[in-house]
Amino acid sequence: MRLAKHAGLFGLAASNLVRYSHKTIALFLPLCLAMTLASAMTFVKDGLKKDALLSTTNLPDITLQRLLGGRLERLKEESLSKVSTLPGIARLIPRVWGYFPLEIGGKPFVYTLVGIHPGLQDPKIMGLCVAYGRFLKPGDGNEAVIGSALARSLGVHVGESIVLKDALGNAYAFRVVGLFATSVQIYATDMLVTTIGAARDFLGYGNGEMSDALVYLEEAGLQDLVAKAILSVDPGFRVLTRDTLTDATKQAYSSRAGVFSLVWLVLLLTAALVAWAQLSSISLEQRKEVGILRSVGWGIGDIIELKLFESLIVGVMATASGLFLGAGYLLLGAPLIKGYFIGWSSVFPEFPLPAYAAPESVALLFFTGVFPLVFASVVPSWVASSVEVDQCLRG
Amino acid sequence: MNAKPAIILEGVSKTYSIAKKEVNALMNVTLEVSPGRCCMLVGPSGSGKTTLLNLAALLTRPSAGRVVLFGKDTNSLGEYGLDRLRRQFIGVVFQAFNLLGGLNVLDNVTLPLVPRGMGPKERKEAGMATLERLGLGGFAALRAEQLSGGEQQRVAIARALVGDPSLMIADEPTSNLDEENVLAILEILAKLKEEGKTLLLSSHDARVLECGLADTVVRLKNGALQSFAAKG
Repeated sequence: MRLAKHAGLFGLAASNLVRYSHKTIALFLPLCLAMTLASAMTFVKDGLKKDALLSTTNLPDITLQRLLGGRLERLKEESLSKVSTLPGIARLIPRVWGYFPLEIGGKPFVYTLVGIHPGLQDPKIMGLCVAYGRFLKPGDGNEAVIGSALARSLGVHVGESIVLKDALGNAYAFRVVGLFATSVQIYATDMLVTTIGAARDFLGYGNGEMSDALVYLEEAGLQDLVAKAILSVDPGFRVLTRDTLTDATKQAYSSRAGVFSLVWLVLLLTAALVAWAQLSSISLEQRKEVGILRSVGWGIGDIIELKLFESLIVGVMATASGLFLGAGYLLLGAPLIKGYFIGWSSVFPEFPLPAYAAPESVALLFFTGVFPLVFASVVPSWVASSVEVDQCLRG
Repeated sequence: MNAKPAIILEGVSKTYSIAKKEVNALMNVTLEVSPGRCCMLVGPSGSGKTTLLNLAALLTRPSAGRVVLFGKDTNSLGEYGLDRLRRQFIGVVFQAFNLLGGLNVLDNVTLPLVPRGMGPKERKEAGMATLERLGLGGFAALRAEQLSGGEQQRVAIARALVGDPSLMIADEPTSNLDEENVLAILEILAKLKEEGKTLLLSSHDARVLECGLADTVVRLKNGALQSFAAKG
């Protein structure tokens, strides 16, 4: 009997939405539009965050850099001798990396070059995945594995060579032996990984010089202790633990990121406007309807439940449609606003937007889309219901 | 008659505040209606007929005095209690019909059954039975606003009847209707009385007065009870 009552109220709520179709559409459209934008932004944010966090999962326990006057300086092999003997350190691997410009189709792009010790570094440990060809192996010289965006830009395939300008402006040839998979977009798509020797030659590093050193510990829990020990040995080091880098990445893609905060602000304002529109439109017609319903035996609770169902149906439908449209918009490549999503696109090659719908984000979107509407329709109905029926009927 | 009165209005007054002015719509009215009887309120416009009906239908509360319905003193009841009593005992027919536009006739008629927890099939059966009884079976799927005034009035009566109330309150049920529709409505009201329902009506239509439906006629003027006449 109770279920039949709720079902009856739900059915009537649905037919009310059809009865007041103009009002329903006026509520549905702005909410759907706001949720489309918000969900597209959120899915991209979640995708970027997921991608970025994926790239941090395989970071070394500690990354060591040299600071001079607050700026990054090249590390020298001899400065690591004391560090390598500290207890808790399992391995210490030098790494050379830098950027190189490339003009493609008249547009300047910047790519990343990383030099590694092929024997010491496994691509899986580095969070890289080779889709075609192979990874670097001991004995390689100017061999390179490149990201999909770089390969696409240059139109190269495995087995072909690419010629780039080195730090001194001379031509330097790399032989492409592998291509990275596209799953790790941010991390690998613009990357060229080669041997540390080739990287030093290309970037103009001297022998024994490196950009940073990767420290692997015997136990991950020792990060803070070892970091302190390194700084006590040489305070000129910049010591970055994996936890610090992961936190920084999370924050960069969290709600603190300006553009996302802005979109959420717009969304909240829209929801508030919709709520305001609801609140101000309760006046005559709906007030009278409340009076009629109460005069035929409806209780205040029944009317509130009816309004709750009405706003729930509109809110859920608008939010769900917004989510689907947002996802569809991303599938189309987010025309018009892609540039806002990837602010670094002027220096980064073209790559498809990563998108991911985190369950907590979907829940938050639903809450944001539905709750203000429910609140905005239930409260005035409750207010209208609590005045005398006669007064409601008079409007 | 030994049975408890269906309605007791005891020294009832109602004051409205309109544009910061106090307007006395009803002043110190005392009235009793026994179960199964028909009480007719007559009087000119603004005499307080609708206010009295609204008080009896529990649509508003008295400013003074008390309203007792089927032995229940309604002054002591909260909104929840009034809603329950209304649902249990009362069917109301408004002068302006007050049907919900956009809903079809059947949905309008079955509105009172929704909070009673009846399933859709039961609601439909009860609604159709009431419509058939009032000769409106063929109108079920039409929207309320597609009907004539007389048909809308009959739909409003059907809505008031569908929950099988003990007390039927109708405000000017025949106003603005043609002869044929007035007769149809009067016939329905007479049948309801035969079935033992208590009727409280207001009208300034001489035909309603002359048809002999009312057991008592209460004349109101300027919010006060002017005369009371009982049949027989």
